Amino acid sequence: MLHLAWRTLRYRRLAFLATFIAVFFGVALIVACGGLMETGVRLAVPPQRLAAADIVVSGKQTYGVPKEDPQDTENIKSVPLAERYWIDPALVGKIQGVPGVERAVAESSFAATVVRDGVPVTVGTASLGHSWESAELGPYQLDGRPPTAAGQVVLDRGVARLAQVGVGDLVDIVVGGTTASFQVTGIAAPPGEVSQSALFFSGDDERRLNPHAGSVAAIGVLARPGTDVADLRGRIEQTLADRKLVVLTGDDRGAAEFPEAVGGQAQLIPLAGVFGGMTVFVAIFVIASTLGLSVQQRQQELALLRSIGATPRQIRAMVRREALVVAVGAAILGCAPAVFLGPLLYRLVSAAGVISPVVEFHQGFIPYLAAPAIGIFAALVAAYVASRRPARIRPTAGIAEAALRRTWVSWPRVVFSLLFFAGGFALILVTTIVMEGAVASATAGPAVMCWAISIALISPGLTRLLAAVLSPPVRAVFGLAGYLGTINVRTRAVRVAAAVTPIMLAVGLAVANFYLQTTQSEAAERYYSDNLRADMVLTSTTGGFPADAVEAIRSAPGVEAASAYVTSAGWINKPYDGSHVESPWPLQGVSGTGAASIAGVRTVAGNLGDLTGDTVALPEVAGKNLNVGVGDQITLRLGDRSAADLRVVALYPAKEGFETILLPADLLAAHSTTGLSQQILVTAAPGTDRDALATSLREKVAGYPGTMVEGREAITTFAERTKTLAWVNYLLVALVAGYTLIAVANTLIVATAGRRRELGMQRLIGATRRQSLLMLSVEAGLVAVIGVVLGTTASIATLLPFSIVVLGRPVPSGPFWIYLAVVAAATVLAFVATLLPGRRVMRARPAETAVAVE
Amino acid sequence: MNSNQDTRTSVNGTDAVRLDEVRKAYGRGGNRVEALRGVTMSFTRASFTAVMGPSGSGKSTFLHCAAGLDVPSSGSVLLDGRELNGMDENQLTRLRRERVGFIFQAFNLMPALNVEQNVGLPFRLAGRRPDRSAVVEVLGRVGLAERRKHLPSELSGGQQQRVAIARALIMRPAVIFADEPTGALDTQTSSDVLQLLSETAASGQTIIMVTHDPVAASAAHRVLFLADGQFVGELEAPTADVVAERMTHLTARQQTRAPQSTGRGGF
Repeated sequence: MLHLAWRTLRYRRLAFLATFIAVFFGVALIVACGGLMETGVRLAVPPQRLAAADIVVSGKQTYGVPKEDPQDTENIKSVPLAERYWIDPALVGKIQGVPGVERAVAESSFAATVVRDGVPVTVGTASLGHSWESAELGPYQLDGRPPTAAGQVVLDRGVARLAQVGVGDLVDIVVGGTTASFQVTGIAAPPGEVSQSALFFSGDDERRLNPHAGSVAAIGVLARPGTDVADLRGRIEQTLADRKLVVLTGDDRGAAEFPEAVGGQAQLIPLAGVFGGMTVFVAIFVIASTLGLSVQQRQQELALLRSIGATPRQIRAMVRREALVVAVGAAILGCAPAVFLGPLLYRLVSAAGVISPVVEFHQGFIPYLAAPAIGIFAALVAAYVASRRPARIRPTAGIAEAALRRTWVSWPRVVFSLLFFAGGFALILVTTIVMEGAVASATAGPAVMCWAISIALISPGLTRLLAAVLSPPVRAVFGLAGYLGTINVRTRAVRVAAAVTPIMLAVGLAVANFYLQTTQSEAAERYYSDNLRADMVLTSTTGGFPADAVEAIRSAPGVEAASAYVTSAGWINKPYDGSHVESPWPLQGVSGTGAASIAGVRTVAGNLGDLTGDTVALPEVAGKNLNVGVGDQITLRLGDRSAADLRVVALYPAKEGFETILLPADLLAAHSTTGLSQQILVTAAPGTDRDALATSLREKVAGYPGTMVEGREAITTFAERTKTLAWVNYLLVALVAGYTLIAVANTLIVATAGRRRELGMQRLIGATRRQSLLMLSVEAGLVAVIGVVLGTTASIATLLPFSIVVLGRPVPSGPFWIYLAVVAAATVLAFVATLLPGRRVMRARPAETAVAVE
Repeated sequence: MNSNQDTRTSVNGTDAVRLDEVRKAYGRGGNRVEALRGVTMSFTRASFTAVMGPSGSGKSTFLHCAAGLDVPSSGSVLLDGRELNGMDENQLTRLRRERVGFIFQAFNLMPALNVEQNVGLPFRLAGRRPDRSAVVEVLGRVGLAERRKHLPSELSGGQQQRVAIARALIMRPAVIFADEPTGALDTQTSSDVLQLLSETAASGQTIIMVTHDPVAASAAHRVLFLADGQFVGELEAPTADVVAERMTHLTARQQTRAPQSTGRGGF
């Protein structure tokens, strides 16, 4: 029987092309998603500055949040820290004593930027200052002398070149918002490719300039020659015996240089999982559609097989083998484009900020094994679905003229459809009743899937129903073509549904995912910055503002109030708070003196003006849930893992799901990676013109090189992450939708090409080419309209309740033209994929095609 | 190719096919149509029978029921001594595969398979390797030994029908059912195909052929006439003229009786 399957495939190449393409691209996408996932799981960050260190000891960049019980140390959730966790330099001595250690060297990092003509000079993503001691860990090749005294610096080659300075020159460097002049004593060549600028200072200068002096970022360990690194690592771990420290080797070492890379892991893995899953889901539907179509087209053949002795089981086996042969070939070949698609996708995703580009892309053999297996499995599932109908064909169908499929809906399908409908409905109920703002998309996303599956299962019936509804107007407008076209769509509902279903999927998934994302972004944007009254925002690009900057800005003409502004994330430790386990509380820092006028919130208790020193202001709901009021003490776990005992000075109302905790800016800044506040919010004095204020501010910030003066839209909010994810979501949804539409095009091409005989017959009885093409156009139009209507229904059923939850209105946010573009793409594709093969079929002489063996 | 015919004959008597009071109705309620109204008939081994009747007389339904392609509403069908009543779809399929051959008016062949593969297909369906020598032998009998590697689309209509006959013969079935086998062929090719069927019957196969062509019917040993779902007459050693005359009567009668629709056979 495999032989028969093989012969049939060779004979009906076109009919199986659609299946082939669906598996081919599906597998390519799944491999790429697998690559993203593997990259996230491995999180290989090759070291740059620390390349020479055999082992790197650094702070663990995740914090274990107790899931249910604060005493329970087992049931914890590991969540990335928002800031760098600094470690004790005294550990150097401890590590030095471990047998096999040649030398342990501490590395500290702080923002330091060369300024040329008032403009910061940065090569790469950031410019950092270090103690010259740690250059050995590169090792950097020094051309010149090391910095030994205060006021001396060694620049890395890239910065020196860009700033056009040489050994002996004086160079301006801004550290902590203050500019000072340094003498360049040498130029250092990095050990390899580096993605950040490095400036090396003398040990004394490092202690003077580093806002986190007294702690270090990492400790590099040079092993004695001949020492086994893995063993040494074990010994160091044993000696340190501290769960808050990590001992890294190999490609993990870079995590110590780029702590932000760890945070990206938590975004990349679910992203890859969700889109891999969506691709598999779409692939199953698309393949089931194309296979279903190919068996529909040879009903006569299958009926003949039945009458000469093929059992229903043999028919099923044949369909399954055909699918298997096509899928195996397509799955293996699909790995080829994935070699390029994976890295391309990763570049786009990392450029969008989902994960730091320093993380090395890994697409090992596992995706290449798993994805084809998944693709083949999807094809087999699809074949099972598609073969159930033809296996039941009565053998007499071969003797009578091939009957058009009459069964347009079957009981099992209706039952499953209802189940999925109920599932979608339940998810929407959960969305509206249980979920709040920021996490509502967690249930809204799966809800779209449920609706889509529900519709897909009974799509032949729905197609017939909608075609019946659309028939009268279409006939009225298009006359004969409308008459024939509507009859064709209605009587061939099952075949037509093969094209309608993927269009529905593409439109439904694309539209729902896009507008879920834009709605979510708008909500986050609105509610997180709602409580901040700022007309202008100053942003430092050199690491932050000095503490006195706020005072200076406040004195500028036209300024009513100014406040430093810092964002971070943390947890409430005491009293125990189970509300923010996976995603920490957003923390916002504002200057105490300006807090009352900058934070535009009405407090329900206490006074924001008291927000100085070790204090905190909480959202009303947190106060209520934790049973704390003004004057009570709480313990906050800040972004750098340190705990702070703070007194509650105010409670304020906030939009559900978008609550933030307010702290004094200097407190929060001290516990941030840079140690400084990077933004200053400014409100204009009454009657001050915006432009005048901007001019006045620009003059004032001339002393802080690299400061940007912008409108309030520049406020850093917690919506940033939503924004990056949004962009990536658009990209991936576009990929999945594009994939689906390719499948639609194939299905339609195959379907039209398979109607040679019918179209030839039609022309024999007197239809002109124009009439036939017009009829095909009406059909294509109906297919597009029905698919779009069903897809829109699936997405609206999700978007409507979702918008009500997060925005408080039924209309989702986002540009309307995206919807139009999706609809247009689906429609154009339906037409092109029907009319092009239609024209080709009709180029042949009708008398030949009318009697052609199909 | 399996158990030989002689044993079957000795166990099951001399009739290859026997129908007993077979009724078949389609539809429900007001749409109910009785296609067969109590047909009783037997077909002896090695006989070549033509079944004739005007359109709507129940010819196709008769063929489907007799061949186990369709299940009668009531009555019994014995095919090669086996009672079809009570067999499930799988049993019927297996019976068809081993004891019944089919030749249809058109679309007899799998377009993807070449001549040899089409003829060998029943073997594969039965899970066996086609017996090459048997395929070559049967293709020789239908005169297509030279065309073994051709695809159906590369053959003429008559050649395609001869391949279909070869395929029907390959399993040495007890009965071959032919549904308008010459319906799509010209006179000369028709006569070749009928000649082939005659020879097949002469070599011991039972052939039941449904047709509306008096010339085709005259190739058979016996012609049965069907009208309104019942057998209404029989001719031994028919000639085309007599058959044609009978048919003219029958058609006229069915037309006049149709409005009353209480028709019963009168012969």
